[in-house]
Amino acid sequence: MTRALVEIHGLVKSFGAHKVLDGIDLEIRAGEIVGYIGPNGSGKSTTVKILIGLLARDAGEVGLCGFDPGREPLEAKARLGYVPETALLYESLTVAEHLLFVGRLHGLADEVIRERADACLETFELSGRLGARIGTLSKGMRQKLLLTSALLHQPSVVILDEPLSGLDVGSALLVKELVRELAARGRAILFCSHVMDVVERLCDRIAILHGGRIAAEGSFEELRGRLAGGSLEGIFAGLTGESNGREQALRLVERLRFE
Amino acid sequence: MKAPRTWRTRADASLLIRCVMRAVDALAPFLRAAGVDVARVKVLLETRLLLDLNPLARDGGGMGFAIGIVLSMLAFSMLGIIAGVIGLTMKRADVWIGLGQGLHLFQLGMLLFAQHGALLVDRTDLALAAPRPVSERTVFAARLLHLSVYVVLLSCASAFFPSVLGAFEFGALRALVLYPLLTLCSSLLAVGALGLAFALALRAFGPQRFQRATFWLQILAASAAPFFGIAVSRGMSFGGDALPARALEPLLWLAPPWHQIGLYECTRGALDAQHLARAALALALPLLGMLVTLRLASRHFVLALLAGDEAGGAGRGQSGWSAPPLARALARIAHGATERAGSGFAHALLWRERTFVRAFLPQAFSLSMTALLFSLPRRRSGAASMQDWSHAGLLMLMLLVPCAFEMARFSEHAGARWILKAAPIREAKQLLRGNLRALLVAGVAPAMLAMGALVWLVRGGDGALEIGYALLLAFAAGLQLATRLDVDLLFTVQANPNAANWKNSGVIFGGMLLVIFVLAPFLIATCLHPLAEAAGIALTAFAAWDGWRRCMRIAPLALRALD
Repeated sequence: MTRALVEIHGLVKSFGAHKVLDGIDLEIRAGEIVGYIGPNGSGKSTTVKILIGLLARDAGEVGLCGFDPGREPLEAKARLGYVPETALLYESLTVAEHLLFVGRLHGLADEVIRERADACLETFELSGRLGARIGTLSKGMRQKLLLTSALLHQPSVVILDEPLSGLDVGSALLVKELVRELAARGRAILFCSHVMDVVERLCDRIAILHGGRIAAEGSFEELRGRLAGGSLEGIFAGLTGESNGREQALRLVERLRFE
Repeated sequence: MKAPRTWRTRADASLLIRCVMRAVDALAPFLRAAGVDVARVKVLLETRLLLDLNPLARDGGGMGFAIGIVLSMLAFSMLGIIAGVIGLTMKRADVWIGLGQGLHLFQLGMLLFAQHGALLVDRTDLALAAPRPVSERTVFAARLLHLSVYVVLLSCASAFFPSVLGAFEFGALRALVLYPLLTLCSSLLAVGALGLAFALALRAFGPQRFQRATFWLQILAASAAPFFGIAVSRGMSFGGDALPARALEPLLWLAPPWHQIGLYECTRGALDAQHLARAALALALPLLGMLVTLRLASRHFVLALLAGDEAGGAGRGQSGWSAPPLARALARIAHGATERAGSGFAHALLWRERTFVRAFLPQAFSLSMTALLFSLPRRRSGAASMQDWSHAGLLMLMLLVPCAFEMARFSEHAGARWILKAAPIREAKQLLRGNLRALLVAGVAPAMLAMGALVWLVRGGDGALEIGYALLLAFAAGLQLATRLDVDLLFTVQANPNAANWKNSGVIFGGMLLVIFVLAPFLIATCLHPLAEAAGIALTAFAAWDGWRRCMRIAPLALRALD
């Protein structure tokens, strides 16, 4: 059995009196793609921030490739590639300057950064935009830039928060294949998304977060066997108590008195 | 009807906001006449004030903005003391009003054009206003009113001492009512002038070039302000005549601040046609200026704010992986990848980061022009052998170093600091070392050297050693002063008035006093004898080396939490 590259045990985090994470347990092994889904405010981003070392935890154990991001942040971060949900970037930097900046922060030599980035940008059809300011890039292009930045240092663990956001169909297909290929080469992938059918098809295992706890975990087939609902969307709605929204929408339109 | 408790915001509790809203209500007829939607302008103004007042708890600070205002008020009241004391001792109302209002206009003009002009073109509330049915004129008016709120606070500080001191000589009513009214008129005139300049720039250059045009306008105005200050001081005749230089009198009696004397004369009962006309002008000009400004700002304002900034379009002048020679040189001398990352990042952003460029360049130009004016050789009347100390004016450039350190902390895109937080940075000091080296080598040093060269050329190639010495002393003192600052990694603090650092503001304020009371006497004293000069240069060179070394060892403040 391959070793777990991501280990989360009994993770607890509160903001004031509000307990966001209430004893999360999750492991991701090398070569595995784990989907991490949950309603808004369920604690997905908080988990990710703790994993990356952007947030301190209240209790529990977290490990990235055997290193605790809280106590050994440098070792953990060096092995981690992260694509955030919101593409906040220094818009006045050019693509090349941004990649050199990120690569250098990971201690890479400039030649290595150029070689790896050229390969990524060529694949993402961004080679011609090396000298372009980030502010002039479209949302999809920024997403590709974030992916390139996350892969430059060949991380062992890749955390992707809504990685397909803003991508066109072709690019989305490419990224999904890329994720599979990375997993096939022994990388552990944490895939956070609200797009259920992508999670359903792409991920080896799915963890559904609800009320600060993992409400269900397993492969899609296992979840379908255990819980009611033909699709992941149905399983998710059943577990989290979310309706299909029709009744709520109708009620809202009536309250707003739309003719 | 009172809002339920859960819907109450800080605006309901803020005395300032409530007062401002009342004032806008009072101004409503005027605003409507100018074509402004009063209800919406109140919403926009309230939001802007709320954003100023809300302490960014997670971003640290919160008091910085208030401290900044208090320091500015202090500076304004100090000039007020000068005007009040001179007016009182000379027992002349024209000096009391002319000098007081002239100094106020000069200082306010500098502040508005060099710094606060940016409030008219910031993008804070654009996402809120742009997609909604709010007219361009209303958006512009909200910004002008926002600026006016702080200008009124500064006016109170400026008018305080001249009013109190003037009450002993010029009548309590005139001093305590008329003088503050005149100060308010001057202030609104200054805000109107800034607004008018921006509105004209929008008309003349169109939305695409508006940002760039107003940026250069700010620089031009900030550079010209020292000349205006000198013109005011020389235009004022202290020698028995009630008006400025006689030859220009027909034109100047209508010009601010001289026209305000007419209002004073009217209150004394001198109701002749000339005084009445000047009084009417004094009262009408600020409102007229605002009205014209608002009428002009009717088109494309939002579009202009959304258009590209002054830094220009995509990757101009740079292609692929190639970097400018200075960036390559900085990369070569850096120790390790982290330091290289720091210098490359800072060098790339330095002249493109809107917040920094808008804040630093006008101040740099203004300081440089002041230094230049003081550095020009004086006409020597009689005492031809007297030594010329004018190069001591270059010491003003010392302030460029701490100002650059302070201003380069901010960015509109500081949220991107997650990149730094997520990276395995062993020592943030190394990153900052790269940052500061790029800032000093590519930002501050060229500005100082250019100004030194200009002074040298203007003086006809005279006194190269003295100029070099003054520059070195300014740089050394600037570096030493900068080590007293709280320094963040460059471009990692969200641009917001609340993020201003009170300690840094105090250090920079103290730097001005240092130039006057310590550096200038030191420079002059050491230039009295060649041996003393040699010793002074050696000491300064050591101080510069030591300052540089200490700056390169500064530990940055911890990266702020993400918003």
